Amino acid sequence: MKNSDPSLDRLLRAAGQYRPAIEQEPPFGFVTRVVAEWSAMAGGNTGSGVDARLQAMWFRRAFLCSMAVMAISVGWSFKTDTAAPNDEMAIASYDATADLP
Amino acid sequence: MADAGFDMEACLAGLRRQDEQAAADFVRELYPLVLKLVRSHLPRRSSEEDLCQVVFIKILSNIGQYSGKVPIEHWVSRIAINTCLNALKAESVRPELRWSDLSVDQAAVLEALASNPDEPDPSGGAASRDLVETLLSALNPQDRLLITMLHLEGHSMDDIKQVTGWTVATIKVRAFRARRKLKRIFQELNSQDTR
Repeated sequence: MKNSDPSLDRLLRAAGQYRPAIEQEPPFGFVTRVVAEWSAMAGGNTGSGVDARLQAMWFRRAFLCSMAVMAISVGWSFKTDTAAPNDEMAIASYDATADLP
Repeated sequence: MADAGFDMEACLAGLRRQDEQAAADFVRELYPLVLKLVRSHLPRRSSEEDLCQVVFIKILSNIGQYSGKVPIEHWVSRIAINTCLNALKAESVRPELRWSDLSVDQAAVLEALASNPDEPDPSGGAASRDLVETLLSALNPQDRLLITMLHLEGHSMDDIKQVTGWTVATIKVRAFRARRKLKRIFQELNSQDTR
């Protein structure tokens, strides 16, 4: 299939010869706006980085505290479990001696 | 293009230190390049100044990713082109062109092309460019980019490859399809004129 049209080719050539003038200087206030937005973003990024680090630190501390509480409670329940038979034996001995005439 | 007296290396080092003066110098230095690219690939409803600002913010925010392996102008061009392509993609509606939508100058160029076998009057270059850009607005962003770079700006395949990251084969196939679509739109517009 023929992929060109003479009229279209002429139009493209004429349009391609036209070189619109490009301003060499940015409009008034443009540079200030760009730099201000960039600085704000850079500052914002730093802030969010600090927030993230702070959150991670708190999360780590909370995790360590919860692990410590869990370990203490497990240890306590283990101790009471192992201590229970002795206590029962003590009560039984007491009952036995108490029942003696 | 970068000014011969401008120390781009020092400027880039300043940008990495978040130096605002370096950022201001960088924007002033590369403004003509970015403006040219944005103007060539500007969506219909966008302001070129706003899009230039978006491009510069993206460049400055990602300056840490610039490795220095390619000239800074190529890297900047790629960001500018991608930003424009994304803006064009967001503008999802592609208008169906009608003769009545053309301006007086655009219609005059189209009539001159149909009636006169010679080249259109060079003094009407702006109107021809305007007409081509109107025709291009009916194409998808990639096709529009290719026609603009190949036919309006006279870039080589290598230049387009550098800026878009597409392979030469992809560029050739896309350019062929884009020209075919443009030809169809152009002929439909011409057939409305002859009715």
